[in-house]
Amino acid sequence: MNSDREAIELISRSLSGELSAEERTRLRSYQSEHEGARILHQWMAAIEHAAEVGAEQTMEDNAAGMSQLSKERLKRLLREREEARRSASTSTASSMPANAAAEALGRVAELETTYYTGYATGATEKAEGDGEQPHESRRCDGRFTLLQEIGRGGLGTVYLARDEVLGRKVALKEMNPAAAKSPRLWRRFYREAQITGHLEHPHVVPVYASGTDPQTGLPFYAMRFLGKQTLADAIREYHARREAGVASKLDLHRLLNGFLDVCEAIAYAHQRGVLHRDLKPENVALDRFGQVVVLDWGLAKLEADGELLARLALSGEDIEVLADDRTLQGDYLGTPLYMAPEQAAGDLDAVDVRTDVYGLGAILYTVLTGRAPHHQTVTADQMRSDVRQVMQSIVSTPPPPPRQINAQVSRDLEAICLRALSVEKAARQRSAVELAAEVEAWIAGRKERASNYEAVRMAGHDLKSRLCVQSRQLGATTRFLTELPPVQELLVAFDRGDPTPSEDASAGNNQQRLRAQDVASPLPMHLIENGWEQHRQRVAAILMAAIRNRPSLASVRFVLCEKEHVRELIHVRRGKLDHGNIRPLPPSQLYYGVPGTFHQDVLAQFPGEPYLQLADSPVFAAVLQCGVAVVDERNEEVRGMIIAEAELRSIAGAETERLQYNATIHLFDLDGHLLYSTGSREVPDEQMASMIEQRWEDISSQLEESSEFLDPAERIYATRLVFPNQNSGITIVVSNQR
Amino acid sequence: MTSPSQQDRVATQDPAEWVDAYADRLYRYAMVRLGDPHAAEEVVQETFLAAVESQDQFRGDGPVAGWLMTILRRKIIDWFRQRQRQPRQADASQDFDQWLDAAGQLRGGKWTQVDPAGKIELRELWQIVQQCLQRLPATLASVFVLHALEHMDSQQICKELEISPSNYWVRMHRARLQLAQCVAEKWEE
Repeated sequence: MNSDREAIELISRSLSGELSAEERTRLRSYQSEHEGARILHQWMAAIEHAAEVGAEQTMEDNAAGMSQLSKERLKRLLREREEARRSASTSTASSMPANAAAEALGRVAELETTYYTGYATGATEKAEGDGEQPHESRRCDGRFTLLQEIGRGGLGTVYLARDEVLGRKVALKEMNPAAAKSPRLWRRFYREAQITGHLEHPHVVPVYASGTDPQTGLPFYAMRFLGKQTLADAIREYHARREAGVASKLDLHRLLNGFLDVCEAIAYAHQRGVLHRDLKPENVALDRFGQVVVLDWGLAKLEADGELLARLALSGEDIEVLADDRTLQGDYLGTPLYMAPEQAAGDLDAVDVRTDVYGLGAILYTVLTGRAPHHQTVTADQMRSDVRQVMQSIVSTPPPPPRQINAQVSRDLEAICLRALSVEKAARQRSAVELAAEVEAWIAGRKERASNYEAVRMAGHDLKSRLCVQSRQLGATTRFLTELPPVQELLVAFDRGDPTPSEDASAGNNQQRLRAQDVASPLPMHLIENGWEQHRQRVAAILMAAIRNRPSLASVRFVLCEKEHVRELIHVRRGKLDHGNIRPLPPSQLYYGVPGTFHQDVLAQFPGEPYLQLADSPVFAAVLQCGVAVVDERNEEVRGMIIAEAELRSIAGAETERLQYNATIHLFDLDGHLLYSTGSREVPDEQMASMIEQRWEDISSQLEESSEFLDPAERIYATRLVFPNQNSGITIVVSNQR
Repeated sequence: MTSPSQQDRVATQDPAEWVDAYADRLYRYAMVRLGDPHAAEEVVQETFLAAVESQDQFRGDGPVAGWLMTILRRKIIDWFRQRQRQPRQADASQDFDQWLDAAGQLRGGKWTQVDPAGKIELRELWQIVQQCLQRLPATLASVFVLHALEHMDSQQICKELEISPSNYWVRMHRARLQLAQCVAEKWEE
C-alpha cells in the first residue's frame, strides 16, 4: 500500500464489514507504520459508534419535539383530509349496495350528531361553555342544517351548516339565547347582520340570508363559509418559520399583499360610511385560495351622514337601531391588544376613519413582529387585573418599534407602521387608501432592489458555473491529447531512436528539424540522426489543430521528464498580437531545465487526472493552466506531460458576453489582483476596481466562511472558484451597472 | 383499565389524536437523521397523511407507533433520494483530493488521539457528529445516515438511492473522511 488514500478506502470498507482477510492484514501493516492512518481509523470508528448509540439516546432523552404550532397545523390538515376521505366515501353512497349505503349515511348522521352542539330545544337554561351534549341535528329556518359548531362568542354562535336549497356549505351565525334576552345585544346583532349584508366587496364576507328562526325565535344570518384559517394563523406560521430561519421574502410579501386587500376592503367600507372598529388579524379570514375576507362587523358603526345608512333608511330598515351608537356607550369597543387610543379612552365621538387606520396599522404591526401592538401592556402582570390601567397605558403609550422585536424589519416599513399607530389621530395616514399606497410603494421599491440583487447574484452564479465548465473542458481536452497514439509513438521513437528518416531530409529542409546545436542541452545524437522528427512534427500538428479548434486555448506543450530535468519537446502557441497565427516555437526557445513547482504538482496526480491552476504567463497575462501526466503504455511509467494554457481574458470575455445580465464583471485572483474586467461606459473600470480593492479584506474573509459576499447596498456580489490545489482560484465580483 | 400495549393497538377514530400521541417521537427520529427541523416536519407530516390515507389497510396486528415508524422510515429514504436528484452546481472544490497532498497523504497537522471514554464524552461526541453531519452535502449524508443510523447494508442503500456500488463507495469514503476531519477539528476547539 502506497498512500493514505488507499488506506482511507480500506478503513472505510472495514467499518462497513466488507474487507477481506488479506486486505485487513495489509491495512494493519500500513497502520503500524503510519500513525495518521491509525488515528483516522480511530476517529471514523468513534463516529460510527457515537452515531449508533447517540441516535438511540436522543430518542430516550426527550429532546425537543415538534412545536405546538406545527402540531396544531398538522391536526387541522389531518382532520380536513379525513373529512375529505369520508365525504368521498359517502358521495358514492347512492351507487353502493344498499347495506353499504346505509352504513355510509349512518356515518354522516353520526358526524352530525357528534358535532352538533346547537340548542335543539331552544332551552334558555343552556349556558355558554356547557360541554357538548348529544342532540339531534336540527334545521334553522327550515333551510339550513346545522352540522358543526365552529366558533362561539358572547353574542352568537357560528356553525358550519348546509344550505339545503342550494346544496352548499355555509357559516351560520345564530344569536345565543342568553344574549337575545338583552335588547341592547339584540340590536347589535341586528346591525351586524345588516351592515355585513350590505357591504358587497370581494374582501368582505358575503351574507346569503338572514332572519329569525321560527322554531327558536333566535335571529341568525348565513354567510360564506371560509374555513378556519385566519390572517392570525398565517402570521404565526410566518414568524415561526422566520425564527427557524426558513422563511423567505416571498412569505412576507404574501402577508403584505393580504394586508393591502384588507386595506381595500376597509377603504370600500369607509366609502359607504361604515367603520369597522374591531380590526385585528383574527377578524380576517383566509379562504382556500389564500384570499382575505374581513369578518365580524359586529362593532361596526354607521356614520350618520354615510351612504349606507341613507340607503337602509330608504329601504325601510330601522335606522334608529342601526345608527344608535349609544347602546355601546360605556363598553370598551374592540380588543385591547389592537385598540386605538381613542377607543381605549372610551371617546366614541372621536372614533372615525383614522381609528380604522390605527386598526390597520395594528394588523401591519402584527405582520412585521408576530405580536399585537399592545402585547406588552396587556400581558404585563400588574396590568392583568386592572382594565383601566391597561386602557390608560394604551391611550398614552405608543407601542415599541417593530425593529425592537424583529430586527429584520425594514426601517421604511417600520416608519409607515408607526405612523399609522400614532397616538394622535392627526399624525396618522388620513385614510386606508393612503396607508395602502405607502405600503404598496415600499413593496414596489423592494421588488426593484430585489430584482437588481437577484440579477447580480444570478450573473455571479452563472459565470462561476461557466468558468467551472471551461476549466473542466480544458482538463478534458488536455487529457484527450495525452491519450493520442502519436504521443505514444513519439515516446517510442524517442527511446528507440526511430530509424525512419525524416521526409525532408533529402530536400535539405532543416528549418523544423531539432538540431543538436539549437537546444540548450544536447539531445541524444541518435534522435537527431534517426529522424524521430517526423513523429515530433506529427504531434505538433495535432496540438496546433487543437488550438485552432478552441479559440480560448493559447498554447499547448509536450514536456518530457528526464531524470532530473524536464525538456519541452513541442511548444505551439498563438501569436500575442495576431491570435490567428498559431505556430510551433523554434527549438532554441524550448525549455530545458529543473522541473518547476507546476511540473511537480502535475506529476503528483494520478495518471489521467488534470491539475489546474491560475497562473501568470509572460505572453498572455493570466491563464488557466492545465497539466496531465503522460504515461508510457509499455511500462506504465510517467514519462512527461501535456500542458495546455487558456487565456483567462479570452474565456471570461466569451462567457460574460453570454450572460444575459446588465452587470459589470471583475475577476481577481485570491490575493485581490485584478485579472479581468468588463467595465462600462457609465462606471469606469478604475473606480469600481478601486472600490473593490478597498473592500477586499471584507470580501475575502466572508468568502472564506461562506460561498457568497453581498454588499449591504446590494451593488456588489462576489463568489469564488477555487482550484483543487487550494492555492489558486478566481474571485468573481459582479456589480450592478447604474 | 387497558394495558398500554392494548391501548396502542386500538385504532383511533380521529387521526389528529395520533399527532398528540406520536408526533414528538417521529419528529425526534427524523431530526436525528435529517438534521433539519423543516425537513423533519415535512417528513412527519407526509407520514401522518399517508397513514390517514392507508388507515383502512392497517391490520392492527402491531402497535400503531411501529406502523407509523415504518412509514416514516420510508419517507426519510424518499427524502434522501429526492435530494440527490436536485441539480448540483459544478464545483471544483468537491474533489476527494482536497484532503490529500501531492503524495496522496493526508493533509493537515497531527491529529489528536481519540479517547471517548465514558458516557459523557460519547454524548458530546454525538452532538459534534450531528453538527458535522449537517454540513455534509446531501449526497454524502444520505449514504452515511442510511448505513450508520438506519443500519442498511450497501446493497440496500444502492437500491434505494438508485446508485451504483462504486458510486456508493466513493460517497461513503468521502463522507467518513469529511466527518472525521470535521469532528476532529471541533473536538479540539
